[in-house]
Amino acid sequence: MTYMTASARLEAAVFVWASGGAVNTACPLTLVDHNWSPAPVINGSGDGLTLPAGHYMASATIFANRSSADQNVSFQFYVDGTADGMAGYSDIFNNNSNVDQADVEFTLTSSGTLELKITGIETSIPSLTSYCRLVVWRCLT
Amino acid sequence: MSYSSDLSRTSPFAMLTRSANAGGAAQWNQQSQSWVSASNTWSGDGFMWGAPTCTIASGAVIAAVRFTSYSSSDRFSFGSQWGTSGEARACSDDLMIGYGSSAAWTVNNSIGTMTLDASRARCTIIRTSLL
Repeated sequence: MTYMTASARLEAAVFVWASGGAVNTACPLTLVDHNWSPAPVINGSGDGLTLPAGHYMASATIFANRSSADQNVSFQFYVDGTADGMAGYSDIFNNNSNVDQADVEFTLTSSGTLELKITGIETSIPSLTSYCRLVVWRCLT
Repeated sequence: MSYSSDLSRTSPFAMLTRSANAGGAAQWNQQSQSWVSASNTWSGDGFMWGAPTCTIASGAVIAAVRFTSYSSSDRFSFGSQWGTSGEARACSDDLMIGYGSSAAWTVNNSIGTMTLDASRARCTIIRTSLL
């Protein structure tokens, strides 16, 4: 007798993220598209995801219009209110000379939250465009 | 962040990082999942991407980096790191992107010294054999 091995479903959801207006303020999220089942749940204040138990990986990239070269920010994911993963940066933030994405990988054994926050401002927050993207991959089982 | 898990399946997602800046041929030394070995290999295949971004101690850095995603090293791609004088850190012009069973890199050629930046360098993996 042969049994089939159940395969897990790899799901992805894409969001646009915007500035929360200040350091350590969660960034507003807008859903662009997804293949999640059940669908992604943005919290009531529109600035975080409420997630069921599962395995997750998320990345966020920035696309900003700057009025000066030192108008830069750093940003990072927060899982259940705690900073996690590797931070992202806009160009030349604190002389970093790079545009990094923010990345995080985590597991939730019960429902939890995921937020993206601006964690540092060089002189001021640049104008973030609708090309600021946040992708969340997940595997629920 | 990892919690003790009662989920029925091991996470297919992993992240590789460095605990401290390191030069030369230093590789990732922190693996977020136990299915990634200390030498950054795993069984089965996985899709991976990341960037071995580096610091600039003095002067400029231009480096050609070879990324290897398979233990027999027949799957590789090239990326570059660059930064100018006066900058503290270099930019990664190309991410390391690959599909295979390892995540390693070597500096093929460079001007200046490439030192892996622990605050920024990372590699993420989706292990497809766990899906």
